[in-house]
Amino acid sequence: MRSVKNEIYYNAMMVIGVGFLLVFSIVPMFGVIIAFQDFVPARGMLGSAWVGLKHFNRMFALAEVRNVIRNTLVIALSKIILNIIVPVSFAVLLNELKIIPVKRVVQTVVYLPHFLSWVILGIMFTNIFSYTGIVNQVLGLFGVPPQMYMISNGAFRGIIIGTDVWKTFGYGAIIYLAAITNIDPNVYEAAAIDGAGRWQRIWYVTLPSIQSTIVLMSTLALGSVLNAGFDQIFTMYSPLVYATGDIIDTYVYRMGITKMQYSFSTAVGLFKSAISFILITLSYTLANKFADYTIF
Amino acid sequence: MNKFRMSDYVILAALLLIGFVCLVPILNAIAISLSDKTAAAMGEVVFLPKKFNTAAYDEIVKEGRFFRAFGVSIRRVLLGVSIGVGLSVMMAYPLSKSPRVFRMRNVYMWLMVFTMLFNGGLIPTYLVVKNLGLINTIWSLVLPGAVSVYNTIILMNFNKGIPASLEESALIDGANPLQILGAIYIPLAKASIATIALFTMVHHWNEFFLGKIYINTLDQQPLQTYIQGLSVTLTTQQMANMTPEEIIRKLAVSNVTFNSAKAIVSMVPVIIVYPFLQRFFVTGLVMGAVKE
Amino acid sequence: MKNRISILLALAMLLSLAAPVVAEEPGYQRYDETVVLTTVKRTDPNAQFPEGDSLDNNVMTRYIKDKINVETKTVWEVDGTEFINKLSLDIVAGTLPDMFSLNNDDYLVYRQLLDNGLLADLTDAYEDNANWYLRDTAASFEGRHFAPYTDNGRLMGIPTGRYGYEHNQLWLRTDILDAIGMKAEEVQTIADIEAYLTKAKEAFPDTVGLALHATDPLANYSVAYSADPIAHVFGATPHYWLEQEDGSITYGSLHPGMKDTLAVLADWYAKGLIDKEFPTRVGGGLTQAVTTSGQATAWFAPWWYGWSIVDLPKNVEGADVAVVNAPVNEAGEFVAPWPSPAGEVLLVSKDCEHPEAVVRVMNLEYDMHRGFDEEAATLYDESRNQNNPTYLDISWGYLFPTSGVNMEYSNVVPTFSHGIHALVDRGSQEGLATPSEVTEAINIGRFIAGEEGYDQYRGSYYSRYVAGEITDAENVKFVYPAYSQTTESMADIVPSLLTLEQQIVLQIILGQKSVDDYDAYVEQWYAEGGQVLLDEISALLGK
Repeated sequence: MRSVKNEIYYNAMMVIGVGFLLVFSIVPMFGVIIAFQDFVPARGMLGSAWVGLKHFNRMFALAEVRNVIRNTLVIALSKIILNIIVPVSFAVLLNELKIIPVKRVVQTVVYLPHFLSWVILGIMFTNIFSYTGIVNQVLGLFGVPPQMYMISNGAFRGIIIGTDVWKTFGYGAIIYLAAITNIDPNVYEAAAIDGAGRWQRIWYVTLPSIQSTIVLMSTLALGSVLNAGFDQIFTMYSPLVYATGDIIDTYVYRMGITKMQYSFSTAVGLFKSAISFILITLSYTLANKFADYTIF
Repeated sequence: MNKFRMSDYVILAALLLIGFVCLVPILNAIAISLSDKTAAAMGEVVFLPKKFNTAAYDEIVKEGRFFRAFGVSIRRVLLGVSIGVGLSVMMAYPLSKSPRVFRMRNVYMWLMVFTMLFNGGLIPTYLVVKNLGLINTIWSLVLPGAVSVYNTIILMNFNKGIPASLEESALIDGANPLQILGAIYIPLAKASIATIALFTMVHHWNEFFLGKIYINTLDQQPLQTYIQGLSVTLTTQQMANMTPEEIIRKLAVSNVTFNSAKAIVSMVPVIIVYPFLQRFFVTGLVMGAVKE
Repeated sequence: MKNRISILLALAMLLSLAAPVVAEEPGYQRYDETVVLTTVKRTDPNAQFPEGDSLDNNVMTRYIKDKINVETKTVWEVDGTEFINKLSLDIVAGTLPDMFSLNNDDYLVYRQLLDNGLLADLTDAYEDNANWYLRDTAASFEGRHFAPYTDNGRLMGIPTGRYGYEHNQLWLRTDILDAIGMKAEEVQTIADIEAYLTKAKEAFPDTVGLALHATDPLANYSVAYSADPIAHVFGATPHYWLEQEDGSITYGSLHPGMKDTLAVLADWYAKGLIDKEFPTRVGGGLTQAVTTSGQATAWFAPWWYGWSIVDLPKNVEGADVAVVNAPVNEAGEFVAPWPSPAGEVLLVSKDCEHPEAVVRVMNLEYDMHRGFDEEAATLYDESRNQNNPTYLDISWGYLFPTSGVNMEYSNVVPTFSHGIHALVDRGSQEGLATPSEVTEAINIGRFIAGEEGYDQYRGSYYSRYVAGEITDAENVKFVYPAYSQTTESMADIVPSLLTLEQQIVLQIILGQKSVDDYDAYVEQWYAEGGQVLLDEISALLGK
């Protein structure tokens, strides 16, 4: 039922929000042109010299950029994989627990970390992994000599990945729990009558039932292959672990702001945005095709 | 299934352990914040405070800066939630119409999705905020991210589920879309709106980076930005760049008990709304991520 | 003693060094219309202004406004670690403040600003306006610190020289020396130090021995608890870029003497003469706590460390400290490193309409703070007394409109100490350069005399009277750096190399690795970017 009058209302309702997007998102997009310039602040975006792909060439030639990309991929992929395995396992395990009050309590507790900021968690994890922190104390009981994990290149990635899983697994499990609740209880009963044990039930009933959700979540996660988690790493890293912990986003921040390499950092950022753009589009296309998933 | 078997005990134990692990950092931070400064720094504190005292909390109360930042964050949350949720509610309704009813719908939709996928980067955005004169005002923390495309889509999807017949009768009675939004959609979508309001709140409360970039004076700094500044770890390289007095000062402020106490106090608002959050986020998440 | 000090005080008042400032003297011309200079600052969390005062309205800004009609406006202030980030955003937005200061380590930022044409040429402003004090202090560095900030013969920033004599010395406890029957002067060589530590440990089993820096036990310059004086005995200068006899450039931590040093430290650690838990004392002023609590029997620290241990006598009754130039090498010399010639630099935006006003503000800052203008000094003291008496001292750089740019004579540390000794011990005022120094010396004298209410000068006494006095002793021999600015690749390479070095140093001291493993580090150093740095520096120095 189309009506011009209503459409005027609709447009009016959109206008403020879209205005905000135009000003704060679309206009800055034109700023990426400095990636193709030798941007000199005093001359401005219009007066700076054009240099074509110079900064992109430099980017691919620099060993540190390759290192940063490698770190990003390793951290992001590990997070993606573990953030599917751990929540799924947890959801399955929780489903096996039949004492409802305990289940509630466990759920309440494991969802909480998702809502805490990395700034706060950064302080807490720095305490825990510090030279005198819990981790060293516990390992000390087994004769492991204390180490400064937060500044150790051997441990830093593990900490980043582990603490991220710690923060998000509970919340991530919600979606699988929802899928599990949809399983028809009769199927379980039938399996039990057939003499299936607990593990067989999990393997032949539970997991296949949530398979499609797992596939869907994995596909959607593809879009974040270059997002290794700026907030988290920014609040936990230090120059001592750049070798293993520096990711594209933190590198762009440091290059662009601290080191004043405005054009170069914009080029690296643009590179990341472009790849992410392609990956996200791809993942949604796949999700749409195989899981009938649409976001809008 | 009624009998409690060995494997049930194993599962119970495993889940209790997992739950406990989720609390370890928080319990540890509470214990540290209530301990003696030296004992905490020496690593004598696990889950029980050593030489129990509330000095760190007294210091927070005395300091002033913490609560000033706390106040800034509260203001930011109030403004951010009302503007952000208001805009999402306004936009989700027309967007839930089909392109046949609202011709521009897909243009807007693509524009919004595009902004979600692509951004101009820190420096160009900074220049826009600066040229608008928003630097060092609360608005710089609220306006640049005011429109949450993600939240708008969640709400839009919910609106799509509302039977069209409800709206049609109202239209026939001569109501305009604004009235329909107020009279039909908002009441029906209350739970969804509450969900995105809570998410927006947590987002604004936890966000620290904008404060770091856009805020210039200490009395305008939001809480998380303030705390992030404290926990900056000192590297030898940085120390080499500082005068001895600076280092001594820096080390004096970066003390474990004080920082832990600040982390704990800054968690309080999230803990307060957490029961409400928990009521809503299950629906919110399932709505947003898997719409089938 | 008491009487003599009081007489001295009266004398000092009569002989005040302050000369009245004549109006319209160059560098003191008053503007008819108010000039506003914008600036940016690094936060001082300890700063407390008197009621109603602020950064832009305090005893010093009012004085400047009153004298030359210049006001300052602080556009933003952030924590020191964030300063460059904020400045970077200002650069990109084209809204550089009129004046701001940078550290010597931010040299590449200065180059960036210079290359972008964002800086004002200060040659004329400085030549026509700098007062005698600015010129005199600059002259004490023989212009060496101006060189990095001069471009085509034009002065593009006003740097301060970084004064020397802030090397580490050995701090001992006199109460322990007395108890074990040793004298501070007897502690000379490494063997003497070991003897002291051993006897101290035997006599006081609850003590921890030598306090050591938790992460950087062999640091470069003016890092408290670093044992670099031991390295100097063996000819090594950790972390320094040095010129060798053949003219080539080398890195001080590669010197074979490092291994001898580490052997000594590892031995001491194994024998329990070094604080067993030193590596755990990261952050939080923990190592400082070990010294002020009386647990440490000795530590290496620069002259300024006196202010850090004022609580020692409160924690341990009768505790006191002595400072010696030890250990000495076979020739009896106490080898110490000399710092980079330039310290902070004050830069002025090319858009600043009155660069000369910046220099005039500087003149007045020192007239007030150093007391060359008596009236101003009185105002300053009044404001200071409304507060915690130490506040304006800690944060004077914060108070100055031109930030932390500290104009001092290159040898201020020892000369001031000698001056204090001259006044307190002999009643002569000749060695003191400024009225504020005279006041400080008198206060220290009163502390020594045990006058009531002067206990707050205990830190000044340890630092200026005890430690500063021997910083230029006859047997002190300095090692000069060949290069101390940053190079293109340093920021990328140095942190990881430094980490490597600190790791191996810690591991060897703790006995986890053998001294010979240091050779592997040296090889690794060259391979992982060290050679690049050597090449860059050699190129910059034209070698």
